[in-house]
Amino acid sequence: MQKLASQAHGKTVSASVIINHAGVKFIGMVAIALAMLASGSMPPNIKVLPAYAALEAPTLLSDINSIKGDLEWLENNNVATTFKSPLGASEYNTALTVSEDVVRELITRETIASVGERIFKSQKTKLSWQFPMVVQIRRPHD
Amino acid sequence: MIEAKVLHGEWLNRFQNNQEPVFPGDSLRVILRDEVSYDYDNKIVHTDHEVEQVVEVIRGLRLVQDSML
Repeated sequence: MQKLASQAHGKTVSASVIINHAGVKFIGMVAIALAMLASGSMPPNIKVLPAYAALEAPTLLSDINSIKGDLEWLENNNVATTFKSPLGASEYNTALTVSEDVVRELITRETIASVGERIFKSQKTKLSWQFPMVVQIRRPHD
Repeated sequence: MIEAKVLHGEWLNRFQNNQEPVFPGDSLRVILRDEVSYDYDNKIVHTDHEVEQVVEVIRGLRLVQDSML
């Protein structure tokens, strides 16, 4: 994909080479099947939609990271498509970013909170107060 | 060192207005809220600490060196 992207200045890049990303492949297949169903152009030899399988968070994150890494090679006038069909092409959103909070939420199974009394010894540096092993004084919502 | 937001606004205002001095060697007795997040393999993926209340400032030892004369 990287090689393709770097060779494709100003052209549409067919991204069928990244079809090995399991999550993308599944989502793309479902999207195409639904579009064809909606338009009434579903070929008669297709009987069922792909079976649903829950995505594994690590695999999904790995795929997102891989796709994001590949898309970084594209220039402003480049486009990468996931699938092409007579109905059109599905393009990757190159502006897509996944925040740290979203990633954390995806991979977190459980959060345990506890409240208790602690004692922290202070130490003043040139720039700020620091409490080794514990507290740095900051404003709320910084 | 870890970082923790001080949510005790009243104490924070006093500290920032120099009405609550904290000197090197002093300690803070606080009520701390910890949140630890675990992934599906029970590994820690994130920790968060917040100071809900500063109970008191504990003054540190002030060692005064005797004069040699």
